[in-house]
Amino acid sequence: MLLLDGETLVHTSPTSCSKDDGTLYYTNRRILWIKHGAQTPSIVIQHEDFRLQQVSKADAKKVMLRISVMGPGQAPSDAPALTYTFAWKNANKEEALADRDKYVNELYKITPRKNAGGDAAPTGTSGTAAPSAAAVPNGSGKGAATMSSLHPEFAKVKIGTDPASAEDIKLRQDVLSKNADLAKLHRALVVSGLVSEEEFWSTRKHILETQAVQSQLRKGDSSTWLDLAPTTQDGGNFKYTITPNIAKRIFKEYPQVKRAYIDNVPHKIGEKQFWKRFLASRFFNRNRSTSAMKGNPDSIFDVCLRDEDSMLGDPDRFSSQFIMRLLDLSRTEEDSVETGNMPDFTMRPGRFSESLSLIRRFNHHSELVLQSAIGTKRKELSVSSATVDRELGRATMLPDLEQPRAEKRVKLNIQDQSRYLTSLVKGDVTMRSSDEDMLQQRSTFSINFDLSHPLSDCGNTQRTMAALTGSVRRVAFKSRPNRIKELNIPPSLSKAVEECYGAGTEMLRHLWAIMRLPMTPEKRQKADKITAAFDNVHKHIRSTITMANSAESKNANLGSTIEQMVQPVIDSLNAGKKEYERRVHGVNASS
Amino acid sequence: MRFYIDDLPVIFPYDYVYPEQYRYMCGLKKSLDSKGHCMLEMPSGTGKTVSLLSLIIAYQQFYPGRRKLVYCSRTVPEIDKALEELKRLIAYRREHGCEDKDFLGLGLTSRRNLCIHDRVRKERKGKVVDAKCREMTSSWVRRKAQEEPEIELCGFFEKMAEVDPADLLPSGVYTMDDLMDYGRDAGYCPYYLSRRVIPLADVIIYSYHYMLDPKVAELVSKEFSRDSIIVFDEAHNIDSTCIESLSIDLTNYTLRNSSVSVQKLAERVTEIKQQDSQRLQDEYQRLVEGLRDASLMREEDAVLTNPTLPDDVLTEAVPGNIRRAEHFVMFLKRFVEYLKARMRVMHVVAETTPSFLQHVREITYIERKPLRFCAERLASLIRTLELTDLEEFSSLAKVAEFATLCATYDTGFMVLFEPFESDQSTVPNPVLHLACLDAAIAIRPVFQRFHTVIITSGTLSPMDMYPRMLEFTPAVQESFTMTLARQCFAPLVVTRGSDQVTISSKFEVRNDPAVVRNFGNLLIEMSKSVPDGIVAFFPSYLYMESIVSMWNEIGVLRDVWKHKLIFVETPDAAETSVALQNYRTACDNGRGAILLSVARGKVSEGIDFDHNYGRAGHHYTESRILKARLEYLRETHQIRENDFLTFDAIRHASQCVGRVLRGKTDYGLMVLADKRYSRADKRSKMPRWIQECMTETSLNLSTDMAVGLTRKFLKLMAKPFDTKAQLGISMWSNEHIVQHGGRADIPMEIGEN
Repeated sequence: MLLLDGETLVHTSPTSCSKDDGTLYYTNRRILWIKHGAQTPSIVIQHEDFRLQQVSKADAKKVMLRISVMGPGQAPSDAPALTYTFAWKNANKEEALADRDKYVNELYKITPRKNAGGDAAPTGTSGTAAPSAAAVPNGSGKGAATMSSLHPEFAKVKIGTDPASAEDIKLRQDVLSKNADLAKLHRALVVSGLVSEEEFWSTRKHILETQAVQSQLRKGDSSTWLDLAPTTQDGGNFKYTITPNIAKRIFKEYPQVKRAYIDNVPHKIGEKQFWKRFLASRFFNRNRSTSAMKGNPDSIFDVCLRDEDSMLGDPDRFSSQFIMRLLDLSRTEEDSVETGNMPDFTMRPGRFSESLSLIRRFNHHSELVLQSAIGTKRKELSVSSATVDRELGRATMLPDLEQPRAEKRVKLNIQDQSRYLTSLVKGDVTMRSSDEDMLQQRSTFSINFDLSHPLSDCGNTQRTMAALTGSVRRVAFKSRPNRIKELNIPPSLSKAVEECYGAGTEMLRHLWAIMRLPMTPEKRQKADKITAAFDNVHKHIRSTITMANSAESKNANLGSTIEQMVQPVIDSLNAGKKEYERRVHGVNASS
Repeated sequence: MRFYIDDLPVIFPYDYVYPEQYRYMCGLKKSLDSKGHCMLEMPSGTGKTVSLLSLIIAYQQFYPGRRKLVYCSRTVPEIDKALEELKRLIAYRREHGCEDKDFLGLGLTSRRNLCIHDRVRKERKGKVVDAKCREMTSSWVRRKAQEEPEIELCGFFEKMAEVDPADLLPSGVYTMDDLMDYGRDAGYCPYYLSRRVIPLADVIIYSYHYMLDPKVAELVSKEFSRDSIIVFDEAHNIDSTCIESLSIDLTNYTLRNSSVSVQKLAERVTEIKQQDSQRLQDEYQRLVEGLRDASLMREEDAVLTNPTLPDDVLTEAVPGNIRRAEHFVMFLKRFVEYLKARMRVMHVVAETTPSFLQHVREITYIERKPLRFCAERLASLIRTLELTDLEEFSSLAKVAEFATLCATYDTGFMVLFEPFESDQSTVPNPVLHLACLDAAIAIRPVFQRFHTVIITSGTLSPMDMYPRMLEFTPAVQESFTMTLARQCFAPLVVTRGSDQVTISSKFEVRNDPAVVRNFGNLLIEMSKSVPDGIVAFFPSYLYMESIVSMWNEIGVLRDVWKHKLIFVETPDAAETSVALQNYRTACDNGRGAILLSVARGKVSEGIDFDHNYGRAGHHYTESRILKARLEYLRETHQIRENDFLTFDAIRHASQCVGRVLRGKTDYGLMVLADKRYSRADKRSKMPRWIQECMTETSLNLSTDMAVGLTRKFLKLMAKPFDTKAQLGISMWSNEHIVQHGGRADIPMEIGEN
């Protein structure tokens, strides 16, 4: 098990959770449960998330502990969403009880008190804080409200849009919980108050949209046919197992059985008796292979049998307003009077009621599965002539024969074409110049193999060799994975640098996104805010550099290294700001 | 696009045309010019209907005479689709400068599908709707209502009755729904409206029965002019429709009902006699004079003849012994009693119609001649007695028609009595069949009356079969293959399972557990490898039902359920429609489904499975009627029994598999799971366009080989396909038509200004 920094193990004990064996750990920061053989914990509970504990009675058969936990994104005032039940494996009950009590005591210490909790964690309903408060990434380990209270300046950076709806927040949480890198960035930028929540997401709409689509995809019901297979036991007896899950499926498949169950269990017959009779009934045993077992008549299930047949055979289920006109076979059937000889018996459908009921159940089952997948019942189709026409049109058109119509394209809006072209030309020039560089470079590699010359004159060769080794070193240096580590930068500092980069990039992203489009007053306001927020980044950078200078490290010139590292951010920020100001002033000057 | 066939400008409502569509139109034009019948086979899904309509409308509007088009289709959805195509075509023509003045196109169908009366349209059964409608609209009810205002009449009908037919309906093309919408808006009854404007319409689309069934044809198709163009689309089954329209079954139930009806008639006759004996007297006079009007019209060539009302009946007066109403009622009673007696026999009897009549005469002294007038006489009596509930007398009408047909035709029919449903059953359920054996009888009047009858379908092979069966000589007879830029459908013939056991739906082996299991495995494997939808066709309901329960027992379906949902055709039409709809939803949303249905059943006859995939098997039936028909075919048309059986089976199989495609960018697989398809003689009966796609490598496959090929094929087809690649090969623009020696307008490039 991997402990976090500053985490110490307090208690461990072998327990089982939802039928799997494993070990329960209690540390000073978390409660963990690791399944046997697993590397990573399957249950991780931060102390902050812990809400409630319940224990089994001392005289109960098993020694158990139930822990209720706040679900991700839940406000602290809500009822706990998750519960875990751990059962002690220790055969000695006394020991197990004692062991459990240790946990109970520890947990008692961290149980949130209602009164105390009210102050520490404001519920965050106060206007601006609300959208950000709920949008805390999963597992960040901090209470939502604490965050906003820690960074009051955050509210200032926020650029005026409507507060996000609950669904949006949910989506954002889902995205962050799935994407660790993004969560990190989010933590670094939004939580630390560099970028507002809205701003952060405004350039990542596509991610949210994808997530929205994905979250709406639901796995449909399994289409498998409910098939209870008995297990054979000694002496040729059969044994059926009906778990609550199977019972649920039986109820869903056969609502008649559900009704019978409700009517009869438990006041008339016991549950066990009910299923026993079910399995022996004709209802259950029709269409089963063992012809020896045709089932016994049974007062309860014969009624079901009859009900089901009448339900499936009920013509009102197939009222014509549910049927697409083009598929309505009865329209043809009723188009003219019946004529002709009766078809011979092989062509007469539904002669065996048994297979007919089976077929009907097939159709019914498929329909159920389908409905659960689409999530709708059979709809009454609108019979307006427009829909019918469309339907007919679709059925008769041969799209192949149509000339493909040109797709709608958006014209590329280039305001100043000449400039666009000149810039291209410029690009060409630079390209050429780089070609020249290449040639020059190559010329250094060319070796003059003139064997008539004495060997002493090999300065050219030496230079070449130097260039070659130099390039090799450069490549090796570049590809060396732990270069950062060699610089001996402490982790906190490298994180700070990362944050600088993240914040800078994010700010610039927004700024350039605004500048790309024609300027409007609102946009300008926004851009002004962003450029103002540059100061925050600069401040952060400066503090990082100070931190580097004061930090103790094997690397003597750590400060300058860090300075070098963050220099590009500063440069680009300045460049961005300059460009923006140039534009704004340019506009101002022209107007 | 617009091009010319000879001098005829054709406007085709798409930008391109398939080469086979162009050739098809050329063939059609030839037969219209020659005023002869024609037979054209064109692959399913290549836009037959639109080619047909484009050419015929162009012809109709370009040449003088404005020949009316009567388009017969099989099912109501197909009628709807044809109307929609027509609507689109006319709109397109208008855009391209064709006036088509006063063009009227509409479809006919039953009251049940058209009724807009609030109370009546709620009824589900066509017969009930008919009866309720007649209660409000028949002439004597309306006459009576003038005296007794409490009798309910249909407002829609009443409003329409006052208007002249020419003012009823503005020109245009009306789908069924358009017609109903118009009826609601204008307050007219769509059903009667459509019937009343028949003479004014340029295009009429309805189902086969309206042309072939003498009972219905009498009402709607009688007065079409000789140069009307009659089209039978999807006509591969036309012989069965012909035969059906003249075959009758009598059961104990029918006879019991007939007895009741006879009793009612008798009561009514005595009642009328006391009240209004003059009415019966008038009828008597009319009958003495014979059906002279009808015969006059027939001589003048004004109407379609009716096979149940042969010429000699018209020239003669109704025989004396059934002229009086009470005599005729007694006569009917005697005949029904005779039939009841016949039903008590416990063994199978098959006899010709003359021998049946002989027996009738020996037992009941009923002669042939009065029997022949039976149907006509009954109709007259019912009219005279002013009976509205025709449904009540439908059984009796059936008996009367039975008598007329028996007494009219010496050949081409057979009377067959079966006391048991099948050989195994022990409870008697006697049925007296009058089986029509000769498809030509019902369709002969059509061929004789009209200059041009066009028979067309995706599967008419072998093409010499139809002219022989239907007794006509086509002026043009052609089969077009599919031009393909890529092989977009793959017929696979699976002959054995992975365990090398031969699979076949041959009657003798198909219930063998090994065969059933192998069919099941094939289904499992296919459900794993084919995306979206699979349609599996079985040779018969009996076989499908038994195999479904066998598969369920041996656990095959358990595996299939894991991959796809299963839908099965059921006896009830509405129920099956719902299953079909769910099937389509399942295919649409990616869940995937399997539809199990029957090759000659309701589903295979009218529903397209484009973008899906069908698997078919076939079999031979063992019915006595079929046997008799085979014998008849051999004797009169020199068609060998085996040839016909193969033909019959193959045409159904190829019809089933042909439903897979629509358009050429679509693709589909066809798996024929039967040993017999690998034989060359069977294969040669398939339509040419399917045959051409059958390669040696796909003819004798085991299940695993087929799965391998399937996967390969599907991967290949799933690649995006550029339609441009088809241009010039499987798709022509105007330039290509010119290249191939046709004439077309090549659009000029008009620069933007």
